[in-house]
Amino acid sequence: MRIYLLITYIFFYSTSSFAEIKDFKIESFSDIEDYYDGEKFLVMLWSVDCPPCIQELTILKELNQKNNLSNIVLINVDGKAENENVQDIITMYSLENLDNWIFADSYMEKLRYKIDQNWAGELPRSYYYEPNVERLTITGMIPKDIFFEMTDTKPKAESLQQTP
Amino acid sequence: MKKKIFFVLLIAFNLFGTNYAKSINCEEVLLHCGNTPSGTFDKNNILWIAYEYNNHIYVIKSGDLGRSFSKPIRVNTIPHEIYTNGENRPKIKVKQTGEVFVTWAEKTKGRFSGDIRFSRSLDQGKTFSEPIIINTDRSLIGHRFDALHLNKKGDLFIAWFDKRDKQEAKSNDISYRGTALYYIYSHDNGETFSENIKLADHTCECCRITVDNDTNNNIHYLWRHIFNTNTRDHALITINSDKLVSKMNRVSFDEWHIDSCPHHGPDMTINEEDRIFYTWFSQGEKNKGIMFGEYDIKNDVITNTQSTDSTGTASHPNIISFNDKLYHVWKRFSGEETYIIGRISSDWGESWSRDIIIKSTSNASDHP
Repeated sequence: MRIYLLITYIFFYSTSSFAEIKDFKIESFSDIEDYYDGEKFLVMLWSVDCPPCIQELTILKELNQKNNLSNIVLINVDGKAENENVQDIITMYSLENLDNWIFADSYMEKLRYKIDQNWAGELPRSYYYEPNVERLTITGMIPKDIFFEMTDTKPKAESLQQTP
Repeated sequence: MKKKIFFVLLIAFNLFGTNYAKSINCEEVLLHCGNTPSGTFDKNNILWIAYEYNNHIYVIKSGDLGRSFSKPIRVNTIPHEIYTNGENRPKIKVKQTGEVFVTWAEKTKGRFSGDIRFSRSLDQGKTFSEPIIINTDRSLIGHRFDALHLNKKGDLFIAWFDKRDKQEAKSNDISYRGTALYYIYSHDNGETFSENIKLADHTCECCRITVDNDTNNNIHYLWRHIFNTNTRDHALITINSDKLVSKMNRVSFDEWHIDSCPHHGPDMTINEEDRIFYTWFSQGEKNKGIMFGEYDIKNDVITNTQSTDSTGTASHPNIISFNDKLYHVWKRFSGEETYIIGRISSDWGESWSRDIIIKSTSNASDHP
């Protein structure tokens, strides 16, 4: 009996701490925009080697614990070589419930260009969308009022699946 | 003369496009399988390159402008993780008398943490010494973005960004913006080094440092600094031959107020008349994109500030003075391809040639 309980515990522990991080490819950003079209949502680009980015994740963690955030898209720009590190950070900051992606094409300029033709890679970089309003581009730490705007969104019934 | 110009531009030619190796199957210890190379020419115009591959630093050389390379020589025998992201890359310098010096940032445990490693060859690159750590602070914090320099006398200088002061401030509940710039020097080919000397507090923490010396062997460092609360403009400091350090001078006023990681450091070159030319990236209120300028150090005045390329995807500029000309290169993505673009000035930045696409690729690439 104990062994079955142990196996069950290990199974649930390992699956619950593993964040689904989707591969971000050329068509992914337009898929994301289509998916959240008509809703308020926030896209945050971050790197494991960007201290202000990690500060933002700390703020997200606190808000997420209080409000169970949704409609927040986290896109890591380090590439798949950092997948393990990214996984660890998402888990450490309890952000598994957010929409997590990781750059999955080594031609990163192309991926950045698809997101924003005027972005040279500085981080953190975020885009805030509201219905019927031009998207807001944010370089640097996100202002607190934008974060607070995201605390009253409701999650969708089905999550966005990446294009195979 | 044209050959010499070609030599200078060759660094961009040969170092371009080598970082896509991670995306393809590449299991050989070759430059094209490595990451983040840096190059330098010795007095015989031999090109030396240091690069990372599989947790080792390797050194190769070429006597025919990169058409062929020597067998790679491994620098660190014991593998360890090495930073090859952002603006971290190994550095290499070769002295007139043939000694070879290499530095890099080892990735240590924890986030943003590292140590600066140094190794040397006293037998013209045949073998390298066991790498040493040059930062005396050994906490698991950031010591990264090494800048290696040899002055005309053959003295060695290594600078880097160091988080020890930030760490100490944090332990005393004091807020500390950015990180600090430190340096050391050696008069005996790296046999012994000075103590770690702090040059500045509150530097931006993720952009490369640039260094050059003037004809009097004064060393000048230029980097992205954090002025006031969060204005990320550039600063310059000078160390004279008696190791006296000047005050810090602000050399850009773009007013880029941001709490972010630009991952774009400046580059600087000093000509035979001791004129300081530099290039940088900005998204400030006053200047955006790739910029060029000259700093008149005697009068503390910035002159001839120009926009090199303000397109949204222009990035990672470099500049060098060579044979009475300025050579200025940078990267730009067209939407489909990445270019290394260059321009030349024969009158020290007053006018420039038309922009030339030196190289292009439709795949991932490193920085020039």
